[in-house]
Amino acid sequence: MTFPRFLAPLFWGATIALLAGALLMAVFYAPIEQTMGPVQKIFYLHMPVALTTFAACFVVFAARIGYLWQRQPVWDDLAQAGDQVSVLFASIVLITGMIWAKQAWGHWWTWSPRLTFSLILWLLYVVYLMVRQSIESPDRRALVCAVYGVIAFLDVPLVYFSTKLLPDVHPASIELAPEMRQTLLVWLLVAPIVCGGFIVARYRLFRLARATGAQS
Amino acid sequence: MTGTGYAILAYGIALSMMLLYGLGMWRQRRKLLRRVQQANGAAAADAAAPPAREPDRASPAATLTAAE
Repeated sequence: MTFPRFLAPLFWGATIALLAGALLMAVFYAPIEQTMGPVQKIFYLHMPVALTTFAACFVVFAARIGYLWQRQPVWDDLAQAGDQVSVLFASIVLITGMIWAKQAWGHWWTWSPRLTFSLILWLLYVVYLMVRQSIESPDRRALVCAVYGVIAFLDVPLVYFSTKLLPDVHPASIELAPEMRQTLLVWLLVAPIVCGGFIVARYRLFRLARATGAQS
Repeated sequence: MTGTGYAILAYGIALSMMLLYGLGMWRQRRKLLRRVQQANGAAAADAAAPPAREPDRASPAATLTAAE
């Protein structure tokens, strides 16, 4: 996959501008929520990043299925790129959630179903990175990771439906004023763009590393 | 810490993590591209170098050796 040279700087320039705009909207445009106060503004970042994490996990899952089907290294590279970005975004979800919980609930962590499943998801994908490092043979590594990646994805529906199916302190839905909804929509646009950009950039890096023989 | 402080902390950590990840990839890409350029440079230098000379069979020394 080759892109014109100007495309990457253009894409990242536009993404940073969009991110700055979304940040300004969260700070100045969205009103302060009456019950929770300024800490509620974490929600504009937390929720879109959480949904984007699911999308990144799905990319890993689809790429792993692709590898099991075709046994082509391109699928392995895509899955590996998706996995790294999944860990990054899942970490952001956990950290921002903990900070919000400290202010809203008075403690950093509680073993509610959603939080527990989210932590398990993060651990599954971190372990996946470690499993990857521990296998020498490239073919065997790709195959083991493919099976593991497919199984790890099973936790994503558990995270998503946990607040709907189980009693949970985590809010399932929040009433939003129009300005809040617009801010949230902008963040729902920005987070997948950043995530997609990272996955494509990392994938291209893995392809380049494979071409130069620098693959670990 | 106030609610504003927690919000700034959350956004600060999240954006810093994204920035660091992006910068890490950018550095890795530059390193790989430099390696590719070095490999290409070495290949070009090999191609431009004159081939190793074989003994000139028509030279006086070769003729003399053959006559002996």
